[in-house]
Amino acid sequence: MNGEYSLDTTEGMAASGDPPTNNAVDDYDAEEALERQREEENKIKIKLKSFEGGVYECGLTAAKMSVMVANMLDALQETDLTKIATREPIPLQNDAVTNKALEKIVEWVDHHWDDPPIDPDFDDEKERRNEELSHWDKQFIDIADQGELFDIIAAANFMDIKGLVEVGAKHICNKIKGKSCTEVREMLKIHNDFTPEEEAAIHKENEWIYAKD
Amino acid sequence: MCNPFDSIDSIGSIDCIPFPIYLGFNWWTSRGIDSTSSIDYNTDSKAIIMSRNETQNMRSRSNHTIRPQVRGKDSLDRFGDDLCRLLLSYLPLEDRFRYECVSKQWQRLIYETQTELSFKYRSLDSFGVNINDKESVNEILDILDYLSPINVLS
Repeated sequence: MNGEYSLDTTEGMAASGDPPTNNAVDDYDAEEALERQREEENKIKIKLKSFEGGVYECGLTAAKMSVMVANMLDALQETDLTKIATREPIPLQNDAVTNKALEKIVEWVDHHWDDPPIDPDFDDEKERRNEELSHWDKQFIDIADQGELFDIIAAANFMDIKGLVEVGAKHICNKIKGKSCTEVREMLKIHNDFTPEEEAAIHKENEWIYAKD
Repeated sequence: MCNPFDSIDSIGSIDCIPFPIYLGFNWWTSRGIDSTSSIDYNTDSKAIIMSRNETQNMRSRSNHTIRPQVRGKDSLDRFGDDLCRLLLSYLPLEDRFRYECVSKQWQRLIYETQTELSFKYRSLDSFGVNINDKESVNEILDILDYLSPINVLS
């Protein structure tokens, strides 16, 4: 009886003591392995085809930052990933995906492919929202031609690349900061579809905020 | 197989068809996949096509009723409500009040993503509306329709 009991406790101790450390090692290993896999996969190049017909090459991990492209690749159920490289280019059927826009998008995902993927379970949305753009992103998105800038944002939105849409949105918000309504309209070429009376009414309603200036 | 574009075999002709957006996807994925599994994909992508068409309809309707003229590529008016809402969600509250009168689209969307209010030193956000100034606070709460429950932190 006694012997059996002591055997039980040692077993119990082993059971309660070991798994957590094992799990931690497993987690670490899994993370490492995933990172290595992402790195390997990014060496595989796939081709993306713009709306205008231009074909651009991009690492697989980088391309998967586009949820749309990732879904398309998943739908293929291709187990041998290297075969994806030999496939025909993926057509991106939206008129915002011009050659220039796609070139810039490929540049962005190639730079950001090793960012930690956004974890939907972990709510860091608010933090990311308030984060300043990195120096690289700032230079990347500072595009003189507004049509091209809007193309990139619309194309990134179409391809479902959250990070890039965010960069674009933050850039535009930074640009209009502190401007008046008229200046914003001029800058972003927005058509004023209010009648003068309607506009005056809104002005009056929000008068207290203008009074602060 | 209900994919109407199975007969089209050159990628060039697909390019000429503007809508639905996912046509290329449909065609592309159905290649090299056996027929049993591609039926699944067809139903899947059909659902996507329908939802795409729906939002597109909504956008074009609002374009027709509110902005009949075709806008240039460098005009923000080309963005649909979804993208515009996302963009405006990065504005601080103070700017939202100021930019409400930019256009009807902005007026419609600008407060939708303001789901939080923060108070600093007993005053509202960055502009000094005192929390005890009930009239002003009520006025603000009237405008902000989309607030989730408010937490007042000290």
